[in-house]
Amino acid sequence: MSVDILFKIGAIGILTAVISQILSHNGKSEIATLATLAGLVIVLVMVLSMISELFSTIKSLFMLY
Amino acid sequence: MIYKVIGTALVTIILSLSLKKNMPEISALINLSGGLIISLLAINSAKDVIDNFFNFSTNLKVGSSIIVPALKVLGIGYLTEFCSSLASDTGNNFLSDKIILAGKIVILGFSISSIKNLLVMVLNLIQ
Repeated sequence: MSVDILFKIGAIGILTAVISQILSHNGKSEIATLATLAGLVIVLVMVLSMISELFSTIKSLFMLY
Repeated sequence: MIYKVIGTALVTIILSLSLKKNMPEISALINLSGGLIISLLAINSAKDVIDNFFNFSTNLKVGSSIIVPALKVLGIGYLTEFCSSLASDTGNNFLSDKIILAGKIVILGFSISSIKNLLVMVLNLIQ
């Protein structure tokens, strides 16, 4: 739970951008949008686990049951 | 601890700017995750402050009848502000205002009992 998650997300973002650029230049623009969506879903899943950890910490700390 | 916060913030700013042009969604997610990491760091350091504050309050006569609602209001206020600033950061100010309104209503719901106690005390003083 530190900066390495940020680097992972940045790497996935850059990879997705490059892949979608390559695909769209080769004429397959539908697959490019699908690749962008796939990268977005992966990043969302990673951020989701961080959000759930934050919420459980806040719930236990502020007694917000 | 503060160096970790500053380091995370710098990394978040640079990464989200680098991806702003061709992947705006992922740059917004990078902002969100950077904010999450920083708030987790802050909350972990606030945990021991709140614990010894709570121990201090138990030996007082007042006890936890005042402290627990105050902590709940603090938590809800923090969550509401977190979500509304994220909404306004990504451009939808309408959503951010609605989240703030909902947070206020929830806080009001929590503080009704303490407001009632306060009014009862004041009335006893007057009569």
